Amino acid sequence: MRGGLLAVVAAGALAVIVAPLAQALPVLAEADAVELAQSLADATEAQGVCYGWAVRVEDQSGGPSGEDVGSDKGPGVPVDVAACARYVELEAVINYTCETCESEDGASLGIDANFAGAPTEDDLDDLGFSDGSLIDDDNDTVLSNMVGALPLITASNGAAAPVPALDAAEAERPAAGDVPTGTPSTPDWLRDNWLALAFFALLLGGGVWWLVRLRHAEASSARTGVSRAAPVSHPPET
Amino acid sequence: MKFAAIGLILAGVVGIAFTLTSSGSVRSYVKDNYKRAGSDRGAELYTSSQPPAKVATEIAKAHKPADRRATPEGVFLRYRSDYVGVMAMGAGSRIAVADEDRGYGLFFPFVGGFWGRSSGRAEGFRGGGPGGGGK
Repeated sequence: MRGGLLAVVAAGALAVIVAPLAQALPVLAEADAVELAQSLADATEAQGVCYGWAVRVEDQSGGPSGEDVGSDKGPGVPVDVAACARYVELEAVINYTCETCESEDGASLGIDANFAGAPTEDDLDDLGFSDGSLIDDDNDTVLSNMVGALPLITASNGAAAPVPALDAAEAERPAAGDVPTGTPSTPDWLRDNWLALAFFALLLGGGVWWLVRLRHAEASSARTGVSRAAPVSHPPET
Repeated sequence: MKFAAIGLILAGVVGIAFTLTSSGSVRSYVKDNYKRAGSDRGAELYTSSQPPAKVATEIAKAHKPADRRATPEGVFLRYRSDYVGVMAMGAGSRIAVADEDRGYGLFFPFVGGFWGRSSGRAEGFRGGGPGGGGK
């Protein structure tokens, strides 16, 4: 009887601890989700297209699993496909495998839309956002970029008007002391050309190595030739 | 055999020299490929008849950015010392190229909190206007 009571109390305590974790968005932080949903709301107002995201995270390694959902109606609110004349929803599944598992982490991406000229996975890929990057450490930024790009692509495909940017006078400015951080350390020329430079460096290194080998071989054969040509000295007979 | 090795060395040296001298900057690429349209708060402005997603893809393919940010209003590319912002202008695009400090100020509503110190986040969801997306 006492054991049963303890089990109920433990289950209740576990539910209290686990419930908030299950409700939290597993990819986006709350502030990021709010900002993303707000930018989609502005786009919906300008274009008459509903936008949203639905990302399912399955983490076998013990991290947060669950669904990260949001739309132009707010974080946690899915796209209402019944109420929207035109809609675009980014759908993704992210799988994190356990550390002892043989299979690797992976992600898949799809776009559900109901009109011609809607964004596609290829459009996102062209902009530099692929499903594989959803398993990166910064996948919250990746998701924010992917979803944020949907209205831009819709407009670029000619399916809706572009979303107007704020006037320069109205635009928010950085506060005093707010400066850019994380300046890229790799020079642009190296990022652009590292493959070509590596290839030519390989040719150069290979040529030098080959030449040195040839010189060694020549020197070695010259020494052998000298020793063969040298007269054999015999001790004088006594 | 010796000539082949020397040929490899020459090919490597010439290839490295050619790669380094022919590699321009993103700033020069934009200047050479789009129409100049003045300047704004220290940024050089250009225009294109192509939509922003296409222009941003072209620029990023020609010069790979270290980071990129996409929003409903435009695409922003980050290089070591330059920011490039591609935003809609009618059916085409308006391209702004600025150094890091000016670019951060210019594109702050879109890159603040991602490429800088500020959180730059909205305080709460206020929703959109009436009539968007409804049947």
